[in-house]
Amino acid sequence: MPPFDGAGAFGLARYRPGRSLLHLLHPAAKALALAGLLAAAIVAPPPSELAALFLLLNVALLSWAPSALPSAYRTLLALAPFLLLLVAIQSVGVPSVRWGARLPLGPVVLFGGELASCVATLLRYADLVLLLGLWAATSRLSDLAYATESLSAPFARLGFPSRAFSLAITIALYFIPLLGEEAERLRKSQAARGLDFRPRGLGLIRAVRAFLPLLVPLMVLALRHAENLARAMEARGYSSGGTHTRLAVHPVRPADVLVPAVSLLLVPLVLLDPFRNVDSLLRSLAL
Amino acid sequence: MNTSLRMTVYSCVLAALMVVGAYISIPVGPVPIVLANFFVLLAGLLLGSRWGVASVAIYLVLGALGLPVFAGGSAGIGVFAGPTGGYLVGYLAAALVVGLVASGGVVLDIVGLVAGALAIYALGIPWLKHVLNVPWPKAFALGMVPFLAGDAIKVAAAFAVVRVLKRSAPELFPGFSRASADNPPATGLPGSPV
Repeated sequence: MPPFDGAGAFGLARYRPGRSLLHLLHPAAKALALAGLLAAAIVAPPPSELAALFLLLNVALLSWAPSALPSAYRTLLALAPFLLLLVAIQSVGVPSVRWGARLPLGPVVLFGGELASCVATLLRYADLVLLLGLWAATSRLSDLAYATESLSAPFARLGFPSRAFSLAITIALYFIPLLGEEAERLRKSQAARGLDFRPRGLGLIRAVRAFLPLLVPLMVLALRHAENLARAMEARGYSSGGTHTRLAVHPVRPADVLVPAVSLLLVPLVLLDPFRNVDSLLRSLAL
Repeated sequence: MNTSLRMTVYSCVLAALMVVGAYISIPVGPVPIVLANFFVLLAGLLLGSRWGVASVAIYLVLGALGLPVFAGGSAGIGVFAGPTGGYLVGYLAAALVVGLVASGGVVLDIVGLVAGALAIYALGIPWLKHVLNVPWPKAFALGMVPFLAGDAIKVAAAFAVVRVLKRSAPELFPGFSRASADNPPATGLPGSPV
């Protein structure tokens, strides 16, 4: 079993301290901007807008969180086999993209349109990964809880339990690295005692027995942490729907309105396809 | 004790375990087992339908908000529109079904876990077929057959883990509120959050 490396597994989501515009942006504004850019990357017609966004995100990462760039590319490389399979299934052999020059590749004949569709799909995923890397590198986990509470607060009037929801997100975020480390510690200590997690043979009972020395202690530790935290929170006067104050408060500044507004405007803009002339040129070249 | 607060915390811990489970893979058979859906089944079994679904919802929201918590480190709302989106929504159905069917008895617990595992496929395979635009036999061959052995192990492991927990640590079991009140758990463990 590969080790659970909390830092490695969440390398892409690691916060890089800084004082850039994105670091100082209000968490809710940053979440809205992220949502706008994500939507733009998903709805963008292929492939020039996606390439422009890819370039923009690389520049933003280099300027504001350069140390996050290697982890973003490592994530892309790790996803590469899955992405290539997905691209092959989604893009090759679809009649609507079978246009342009014929490109014989051994027994398979690719068309220019299929290649363009593959590039667009890969660029779309690359944009999503870079966007996530940029957001995570400039946001603390506590910002995520702050953004969740701020953005869900208007729905509280409709009966949505926004504070309980935000509290749940905060607690879950607190437990992820803790339980990840516990899982890794348990795996190492059980391995040191001579336990082999790889079941010998394919018998169901043998396979389950191979799991139990890791899962039972992990569950006991997790439930014990949960019980302790619930008691501690109750002793400190928390309730799942009650009000509370915050240690850090983010005042809203002009940039907090401007940045998400520009980002959200990108969605109708990419739908208008401003680079359609570039795409037409590429298409005519492929023909 | 405030039941709502306690169950909120337990739901969050199970959601965190789903995240951790997405990163733990065990090499069994041709397809390695990832433990995220094991903890989904366990959430339904331990917390019941309502809080089990809440726990899965927290996990899905964390992923939708952009945290790389889904299998393979993927994240974002776009994952729900991808080929595996149906399986993720199926997690909600799985926790609901397990919570509704399982009752603490051996037979109903096993039936609930099997039904929960099948509920994931019931939503996952039609969505996979729709997104990849492949015929039904190929959708089953891609999205179900390679994972059946692993799921059988997860169902058996979830059942065994809950049985062992009930026997060895009943005070930590959310359903055992009386036992918990009578035997408060030890505090001050290494790495304890309080």
